Amino acid sequence: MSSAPLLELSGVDLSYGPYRALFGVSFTVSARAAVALVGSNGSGKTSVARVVSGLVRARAGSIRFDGRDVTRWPAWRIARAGLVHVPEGRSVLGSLTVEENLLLGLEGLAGRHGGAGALERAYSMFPRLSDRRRQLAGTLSGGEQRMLALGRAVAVPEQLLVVDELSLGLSPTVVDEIFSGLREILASGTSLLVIEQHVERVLALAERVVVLAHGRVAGEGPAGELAGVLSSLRPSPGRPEPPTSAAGGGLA
Amino acid sequence: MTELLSYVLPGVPYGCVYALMAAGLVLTYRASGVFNLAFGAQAYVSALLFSVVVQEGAGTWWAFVLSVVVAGPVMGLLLDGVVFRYTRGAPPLVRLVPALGLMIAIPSVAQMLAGTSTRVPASFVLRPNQVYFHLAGSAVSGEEIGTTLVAFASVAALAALLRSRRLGLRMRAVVESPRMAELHGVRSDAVGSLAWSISSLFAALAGVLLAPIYAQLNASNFTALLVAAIAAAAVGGLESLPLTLVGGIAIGVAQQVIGGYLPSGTILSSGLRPAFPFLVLAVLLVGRRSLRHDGRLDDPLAGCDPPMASLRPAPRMAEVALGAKAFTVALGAAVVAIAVAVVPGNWEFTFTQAAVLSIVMLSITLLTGLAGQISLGQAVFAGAGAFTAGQLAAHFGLPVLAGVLAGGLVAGMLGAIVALPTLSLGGISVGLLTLSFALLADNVLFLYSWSGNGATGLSVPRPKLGGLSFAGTGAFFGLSLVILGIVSGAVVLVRGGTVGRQLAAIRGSETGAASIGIDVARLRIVAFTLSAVIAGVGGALYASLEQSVSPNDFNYQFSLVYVVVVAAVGVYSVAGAIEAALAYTVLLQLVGSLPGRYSSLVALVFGLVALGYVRHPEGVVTYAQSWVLDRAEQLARFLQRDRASGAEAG
Repeated sequence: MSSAPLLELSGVDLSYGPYRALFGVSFTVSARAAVALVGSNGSGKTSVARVVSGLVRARAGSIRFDGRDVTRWPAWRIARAGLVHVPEGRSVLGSLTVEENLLLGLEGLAGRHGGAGALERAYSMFPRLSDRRRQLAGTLSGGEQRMLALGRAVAVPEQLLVVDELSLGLSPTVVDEIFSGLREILASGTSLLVIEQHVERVLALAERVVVLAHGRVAGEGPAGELAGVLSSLRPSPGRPEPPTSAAGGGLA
Repeated sequence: MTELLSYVLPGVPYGCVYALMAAGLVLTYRASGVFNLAFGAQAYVSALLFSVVVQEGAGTWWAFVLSVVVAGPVMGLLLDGVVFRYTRGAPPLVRLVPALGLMIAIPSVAQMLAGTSTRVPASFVLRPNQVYFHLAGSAVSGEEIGTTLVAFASVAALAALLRSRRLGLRMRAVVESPRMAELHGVRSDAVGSLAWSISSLFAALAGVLLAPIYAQLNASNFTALLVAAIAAAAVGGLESLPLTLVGGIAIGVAQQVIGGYLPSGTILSSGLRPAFPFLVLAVLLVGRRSLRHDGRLDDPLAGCDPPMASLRPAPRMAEVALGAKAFTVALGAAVVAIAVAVVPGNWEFTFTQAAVLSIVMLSITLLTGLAGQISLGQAVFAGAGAFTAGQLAAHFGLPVLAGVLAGGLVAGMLGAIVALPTLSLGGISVGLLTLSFALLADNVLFLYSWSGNGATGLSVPRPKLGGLSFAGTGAFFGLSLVILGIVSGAVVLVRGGTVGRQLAAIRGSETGAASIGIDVARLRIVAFTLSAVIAGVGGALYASLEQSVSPNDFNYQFSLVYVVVVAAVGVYSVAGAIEAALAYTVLLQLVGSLPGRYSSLVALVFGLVALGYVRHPEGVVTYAQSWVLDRAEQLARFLQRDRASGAEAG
């Protein structure tokens, strides 16, 4: 691969009306690589995803995708250039059927691609979707909705997939299914930018980690090396709480 | 049978035009979630343009191309690009007010541009008056055939377009969430623009087709057309185009049949024909589940928008809050003092009108601002109050002040009755139901001698209280201020009390309010009733000020105007209502003192207000308040810091 990164943010500032969300965020995602974006609630992870996909416009700084400056591009143009953003929470169009959701993505992103083969790819990765192709997407369970959202990226392999809190509110077995899907997508050559609460899982998937805190990049490095930075930001969910010295002090 | 057919057949072309409009309404609603009430106005503009071009001597087909094929889509693109693109996913009131403003503004501006000379509508389909054949004994004219064919072909073409995967699918995606659709690579703005230009083409076509039926082009005919179209769209559940077509034709035919069979000469028969679509709409709104709520899913990506501006700017610093309060009181006192002392005689009346109108406006503050319910029928409650006071004074010699109270009570009862069918409705549906109620009052309810007494109207004397007479305008002004003060105080008390907080909860989320034990239905009735009482008091007072009133003083247009004015100035505060009334009456008075050809300036202001409202849904006054308060706080902070650093240095 060439040395130029697939996605490059440099000095990105973002605000919602009077509220600043991002302060000079810079990092890169290389081609065929997976980057994890972690940080506590309110640290700006979702804002990064939104600014990358063009849902909100950066106030300053620049975003380059696939060698082009996309900072001022509208979302649909960025999507057609090969960047799929699966937003947090409800990430499908509920008033469309499963198949229509997939078709919408296909037609918009790649009118040139044959539809049938693309649909089959999505259905073969998530067979449950195939059973429900005529069902309204809004009536799917949370896990099935995330599968559908991922299925879009599978149907037409794109260059970069940005996923925001895919595992939120899902049962562990479904999360397994979703993560194996992500692994497959990565193996097929699509880069990933993963925002995730399950830090262990995402560290197993991604080779690099970017840590956000208060809208700024607090640290960045290979996945293995960042455990220290992470534990300083918040206790890992898997580990027991440290001895209750603080609580005890409060009671005393 | 032949007689029935002779009524049915002429109804079909009317119905087809309703269906054309309705199809356009459905399309914009599907593609942008906007219930475009300016649609009738767009049809009017095209009909006007068509007539003008024909009268200037151009051929009918050229006129058709210019007024329908060109002007229709261009109007749609303008409306979408300048106004409605920015209201997607906004709350119902924010989607409705710009449409109302444009509904009022567009016809007047068009009239101003077309000149005041009477325009006789021309027809373009076949040869209008030639009878082509007879069907069951009825003559069928070329125009009737043409209208029917054009309507069927257009609706069929639109249905085919929406069936197509490319456009239909995208449109459904865009209406659910423009942003989510963009993430799928769909150009949401382009899809929206396309939908608006096609639907506006339909409005233009309907206007040009319908115009020859009237002897003279008149904007209010097109409002009636709009309501009939809304009813037809409601038959189709705002979704199905074939059902919409059926609904439109059924309404058109039913109107003719009613006109044919009801005994002529009574108010019911002359009123029921125009009012029939409103009745249909009201019944459908209450009866059809799919119409009860907006039926729109929340946009999951709404979080990308900056948070909405505060509805009631509250300064964080105590000094600034105190200063703001003092300033408001001083300003109010100054306005009253100037009105009393300095203002020349003819303005005294204007300020009195403003004070009385403020009371009516406060009814909207309570209902829409506090409770979040949209009523497009407030003028009916004001009218009910006025006519009650007038009838009681005329027949029972009741003193006018007692009549004002009685008017409030009667209006309140009417409000409670109107509230009942709205209980199962949400958002814009409540507005549409109250609008059909207002039109029903205009066409039937207010025409009887026991109510508004038709065009003749009623005379209402100025009040007396013991030895005090309020016959002079100055004294009446004082009285109005006292009553305005009482009503304002009542609204402030309601807002600050338990009911006010419960109403605020309902405004936020009815489900949420119910979950903390608030009886939503009861509270909505209370809000409607209180608001109607206030409107009734204001209306009765207005009648006494004018000394003679007729249903025309309270027709549906006033209901719409009031909502637009109050919403644009600030619907959440008492000050907003008073400033709205003041601005409106002063504007009318100023424009009234200009030569006649400037009378459209009022409408122009309305159009601008609608545009401004899209940017600042919290209201002009609220926006200005926030702006001033922000600056004041910055200044106060700066001064404090200055003092602090000065103290440190010393």
